Amino acid sequence: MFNLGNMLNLGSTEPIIGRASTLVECSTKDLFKYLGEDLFQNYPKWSPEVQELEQLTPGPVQLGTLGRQVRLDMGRRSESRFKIFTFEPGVRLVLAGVSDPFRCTYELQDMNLEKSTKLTFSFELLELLVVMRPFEGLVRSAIKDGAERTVQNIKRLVEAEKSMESSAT
Amino acid sequence: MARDIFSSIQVPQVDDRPLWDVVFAIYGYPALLLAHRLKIFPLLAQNSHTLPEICKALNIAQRPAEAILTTATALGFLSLQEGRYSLTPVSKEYLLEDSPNYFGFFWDLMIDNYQVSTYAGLEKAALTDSAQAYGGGDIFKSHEEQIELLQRFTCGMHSISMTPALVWPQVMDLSQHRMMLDIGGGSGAHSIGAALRWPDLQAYILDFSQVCEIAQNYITRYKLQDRVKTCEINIWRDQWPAADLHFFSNMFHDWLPEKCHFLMAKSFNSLESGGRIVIHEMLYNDEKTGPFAAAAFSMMMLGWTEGKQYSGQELSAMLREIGFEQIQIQKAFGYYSIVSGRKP
Repeated sequence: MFNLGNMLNLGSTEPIIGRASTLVECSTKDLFKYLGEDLFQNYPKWSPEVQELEQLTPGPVQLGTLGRQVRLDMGRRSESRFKIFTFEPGVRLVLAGVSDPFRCTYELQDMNLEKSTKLTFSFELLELLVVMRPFEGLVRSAIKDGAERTVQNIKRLVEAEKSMESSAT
Repeated sequence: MARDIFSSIQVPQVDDRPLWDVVFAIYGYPALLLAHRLKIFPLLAQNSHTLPEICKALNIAQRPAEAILTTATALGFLSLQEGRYSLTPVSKEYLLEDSPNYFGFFWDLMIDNYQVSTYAGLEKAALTDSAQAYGGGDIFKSHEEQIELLQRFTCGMHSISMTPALVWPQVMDLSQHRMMLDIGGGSGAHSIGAALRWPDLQAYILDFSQVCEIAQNYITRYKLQDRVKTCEINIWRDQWPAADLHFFSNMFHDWLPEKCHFLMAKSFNSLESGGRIVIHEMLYNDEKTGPFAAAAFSMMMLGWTEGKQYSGQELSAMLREIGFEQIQIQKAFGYYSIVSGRKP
């Protein structure tokens, strides 16, 4: 009670979260399809750090679907399993680490009668490995930058794809 | 137009007492803080006293003494019979320092930080949307001053926690649980209460190292060193020890939903399958029309923290979104409730 840490400067009470938003010229339905339904095709496109991606549970992507990824972040290779924790078409997609303490949330909000969508992405690192603690500042800044990069990548990819589709027709 | 309204003035259709009550709260309730600081309650612990006897013992004039004593009597903290003031059950239980349920340290905390609850303090908190307590983090205080402040603070928290800590463990069946984490547990009151009720339960109090040092004294006082231990970690960034019960009291109201979400997600990730999260808070009703206690607590949070009170529905929705199941809301002691959920 009363947020003692902040009041008495005992230690940081800031969770490690990166969050960024952008407006994507695309309907919530199409954007959710790109992010959610076609997750295993598109994830490495908007997150180039993903070196390997594999769907572990068969069938369409849905609540409870499991995946495995191998990432290369700032030269550090890591392998993790994740699970779809929330799958609300057109509204929200949440991936959470099964073996590692992270959560990614993609929230969609219709802004202009299905012509544009506000996309908010957040990455939460639920705990910091002991070896990473001396670099907490760097980690926070990398996560913040990473969130911004993620939404910009998604915007660019989705809008380019949409523009190619319309020029083809 | 205005002239017509005034010339045709009539008796209003609604009473003006709610407006007076606002004013009387400003003057009336602090009378109890005065009575506490003047040590009227310990004075009456042994014997009842007349007004002149109280004035003589406390060296105050009859006019202020009568005003304070009458307010305390009207609010149920004293009784007056045949000209003699005496304690009521509530003041005996909560306002005598030798009672294990002593509430007075929390009143001391309120008095010591009275600027937070003044009109000016609350106005500043409301207009800037920022906490005003301790100047918003006074890094210029010396280490000794910080420790002193921390002790007074933890003492105040223990003062309001120990009684509800004896009750919520009776509301829930914790017989299947072995290890409880009391997250941001302060003095450890809730771990102590749970351990006293459930003899097979062990607990870790997770808090900053300086707080854990203070908690050790309370654990020793209740002779629970074997089953209640402290764990010096930063709950936001460090890994939590393995456990099957996570307990948060007056924690979520310190933060806005984003940080509550973070803590709940961390709890979910860290809990064993079948483990339970328990949130102990004063809840708004789902319609957000009250109760007054939760609304006033939210005002207190405005002055002290970046958080606010939540309704049971709001906390349940957050828990459900994270993945918790079997969510329950139960009444606990006094104004408190518990919201719990199970990890599948």
